[in-house]
Amino acid sequence: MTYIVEIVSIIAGIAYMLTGILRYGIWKGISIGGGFMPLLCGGLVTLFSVLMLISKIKKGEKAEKFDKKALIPVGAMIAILLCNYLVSLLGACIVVAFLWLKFIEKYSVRKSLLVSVIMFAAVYGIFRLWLNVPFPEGLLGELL
Amino acid sequence: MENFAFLFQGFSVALLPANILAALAGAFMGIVVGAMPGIGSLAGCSLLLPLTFHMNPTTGIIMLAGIYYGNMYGGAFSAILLNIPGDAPAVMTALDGYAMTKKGKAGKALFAANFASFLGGTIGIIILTVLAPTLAKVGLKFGPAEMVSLLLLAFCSIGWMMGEDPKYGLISTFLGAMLALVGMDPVNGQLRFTGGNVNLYSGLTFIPIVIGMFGFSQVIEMMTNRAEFNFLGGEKLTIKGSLLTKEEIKGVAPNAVRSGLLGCFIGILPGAGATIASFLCYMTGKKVSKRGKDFGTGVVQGIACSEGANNAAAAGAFAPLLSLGLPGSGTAAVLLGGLMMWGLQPGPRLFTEQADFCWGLLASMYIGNVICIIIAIAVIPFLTKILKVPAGIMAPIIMTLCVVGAYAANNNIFDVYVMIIAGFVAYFLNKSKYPIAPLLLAFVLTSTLETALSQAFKINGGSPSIFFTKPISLGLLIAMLLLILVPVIAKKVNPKKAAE
Repeated sequence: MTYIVEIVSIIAGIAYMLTGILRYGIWKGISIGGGFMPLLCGGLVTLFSVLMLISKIKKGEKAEKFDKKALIPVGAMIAILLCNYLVSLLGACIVVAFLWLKFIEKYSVRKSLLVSVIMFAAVYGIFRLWLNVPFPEGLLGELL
Repeated sequence: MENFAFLFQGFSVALLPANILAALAGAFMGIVVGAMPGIGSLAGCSLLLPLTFHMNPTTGIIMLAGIYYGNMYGGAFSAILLNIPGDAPAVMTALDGYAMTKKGKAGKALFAANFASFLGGTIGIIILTVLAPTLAKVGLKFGPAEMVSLLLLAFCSIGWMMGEDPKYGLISTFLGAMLALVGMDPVNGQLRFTGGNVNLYSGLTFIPIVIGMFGFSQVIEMMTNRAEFNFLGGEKLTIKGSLLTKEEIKGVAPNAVRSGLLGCFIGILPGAGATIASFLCYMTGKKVSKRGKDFGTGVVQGIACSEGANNAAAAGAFAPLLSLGLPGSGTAAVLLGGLMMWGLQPGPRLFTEQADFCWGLLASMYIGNVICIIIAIAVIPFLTKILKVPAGIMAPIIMTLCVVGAYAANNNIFDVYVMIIAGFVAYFLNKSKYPIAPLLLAFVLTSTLETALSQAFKINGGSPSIFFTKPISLGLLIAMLLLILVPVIAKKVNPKKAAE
């Protein structure tokens, strides 16, 4: 975990450099080709990431342990995306918000429902009615 | 002096009840829309443009200018209170603004943002009044070579100065540039790093990335480190309690004035705009301000730099728009569309042939700026009520705003995926001490840099000498070198002082 950012950056940087040179070409006529910027940025990211990696190894730095609780919001987001296909994007948000408040934050059913409904009304009023954002309606919306 | 005579004539147009009402409505709607994550000034002006269709040109553009100005004020609100910048220029405001909110000083942060916005905006409008046509011509001297040098200076200054070690900032900067290279190459039209995904053909969108990196990563942080968010549900805040002390005003005013002057000039440059202005002025403030080393920890001086700059740049963008018909930013392009829709042809003759319109608009910007600050201050007690909401309730609300804001950027569910990934990546970057702001700056500017770089080479037959033979470009490159070399040399000469 300590060196994850540097290792990923080095891999991505090298991939950008190689793709830039081999696939897009770095020079075209009298100007830069599509591969010039990938080569430049990839090269600089690789260079600085290697330097950072060496410096961290020398210092013996240790990263904070990954907290598995960080996965809860990501799981909730995935649930919203999955529910979106059934009950619309806003519907999915209200369902997940209710479940979050009830089961993760341990609020009462009444309070969880109240907060979810107020939030839904505000978001629907501003984004859908006023600003005309066309949210996906999901299977339920299409049936209705 | 002649300009001021015209301006007074303009006030007689702007002070008509219908025009004041238009400025008031525009400012109010602009603030509300600007505070909505994912909307921003470009989408805000585009969405609200139809409201002005039935108005006469002067009233319509006055309302649109009010919306534009209100957007700039409103963008700071969500950045300060929720750590979700409403728009790219508010990214730097979030650094100090949200840090102040965490310290229980949300009211002061909002007041400082409003005060700096007002000062910066006023400076921008005054410069616009006196020098609009002249400045627009100066802006035209900024060709591709100068733009490349300016952007390199922006990249280096923020990459070099953010983070406890320059390497952190530089890696973050170039990672942002790499992300910006996904999609169609702006020069050759070649598809790059899309993996055949149609959603990536036009590249990654900035808004979902900024919402994910600031908003969603914060929800993750709330889950793993709840104690740090105990400021939510805190004390009651009032306008009186939010007023700045004499000492704080001394901190805000000079920074806002300096950023206003620099920001207005950057706003005039074609393709630059409020985002570069806010980033560059923040970094300048960090370098020259007495409390520069505290920037990012929650100081009013930091807020003053970014807010003063972005409001001045918003005013500056009107100079090339009105006198040359060149929009300096995406939002200015929407305003240009509005002007042309009403049959007005922006250009050097607009100030003479449509004097009523031009000077009425400039006068209305003064009035709009005053209206904006009054509304913005009046809503502080209501806005800070958000902070009374406990963290447990706030987390799903922020999550919903992140989803809705990311989706609203392009009305595309793919952007919600981008937002989630960006948030998770930002969580790791934060844990590994990498600053997020340089990544976002580089993401916004890389496309402009690549286009300008290509144009500069084409102009000069493929030779890089253009960057060293043009005086402005050379000056900017020397400034960049000094920025990099001075701290290194200082470290060699006096290691103790440099460490301090």
